Amino acid sequence: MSEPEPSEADLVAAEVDIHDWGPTEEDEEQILRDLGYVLNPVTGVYEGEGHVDGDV
Amino acid sequence: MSVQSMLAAARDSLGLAGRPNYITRDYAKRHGDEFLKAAWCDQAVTYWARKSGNAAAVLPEGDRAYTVWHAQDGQKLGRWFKGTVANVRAHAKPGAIVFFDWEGRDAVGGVDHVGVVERNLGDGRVQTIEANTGDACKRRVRAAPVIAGFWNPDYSVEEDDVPEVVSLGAGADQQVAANGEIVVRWGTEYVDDPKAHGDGEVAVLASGERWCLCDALVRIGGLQPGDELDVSWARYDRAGKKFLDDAWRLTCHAGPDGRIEVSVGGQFALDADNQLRLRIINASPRVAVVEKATMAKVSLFKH
Repeated sequence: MSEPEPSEADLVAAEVDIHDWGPTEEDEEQILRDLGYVLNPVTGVYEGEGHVDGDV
Repeated sequence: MSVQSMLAAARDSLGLAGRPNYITRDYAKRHGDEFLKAAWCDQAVTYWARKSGNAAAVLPEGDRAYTVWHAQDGQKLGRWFKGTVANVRAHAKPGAIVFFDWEGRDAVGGVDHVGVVERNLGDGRVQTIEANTGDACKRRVRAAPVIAGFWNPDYSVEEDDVPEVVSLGAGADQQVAANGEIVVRWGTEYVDDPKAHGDGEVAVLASGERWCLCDALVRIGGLQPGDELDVSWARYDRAGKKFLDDAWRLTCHAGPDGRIEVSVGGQFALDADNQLRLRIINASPRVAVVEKATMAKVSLFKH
């Protein structure tokens, strides 16, 4: 008898938090600042609309 | 329906952290509680697409939480680009769905994570919005070596405005006790969306916010001329435990042959938190019979 196909939930569960979500670009924060985003120190998120496209 | 609306939806989630959250709750509502605390990067892409009216472009095969399947959706459309520096520079547009593999492979099967491109930085890197990056939604900068690939949804695709149509038939006679009531059990169903009918065959369930057009042709016998009976399209909570309101209720009287044949229609809103049932309230001192030929058509329009 063949194994039943795993469900989407099974497949997602197999991936839960087994990765640290990727390598950080060394200049990530500088790039985000250069794009015009502003760090919210409470959330750690770069917020705002940023510069218009092309104005980097 | 545009890349701007997709990105606006993603920006609205910036700062969201922890789980469950409104994104995982929204997905779990449609697909099961096991998603409440599951990895939510792709659940977020699904949420943003649905919220912004871009589901047809971003979710061509329907909701996605499993990133590999979502990447494959782009392949099936012939829109997949491997995550090479040249491809990222030339083809990663704002709104692209970008898939990551931390082991640096450009294979769909190795995808670990997903985000949406907000800007192409022009140097083989993109600036993204990602959910579940450190269990939060943040802007990130990603480079080609960790980009397995990406695909650009066709944001010009209009949402499907064809209604989901549920055609229902009682299928069998159903008795209503004197001074009692029932909800009609629909034993026969023809439906576009297999999830639109459930809950013991009595409920019509919308998968999201829908404008609902109903029309029932109700046939009832066993009465005496003049006997009174109400027919109502009624809303209940999603679990079907709590009556909310009679969205459209009509009082009818039996004709000289002791029968009622009436068309009961209405237009009202349904969503994923409620359900629709057809109530028969028998005010007569006799057992009424909802005949098996009773039928209904329910059209659910996205709005």
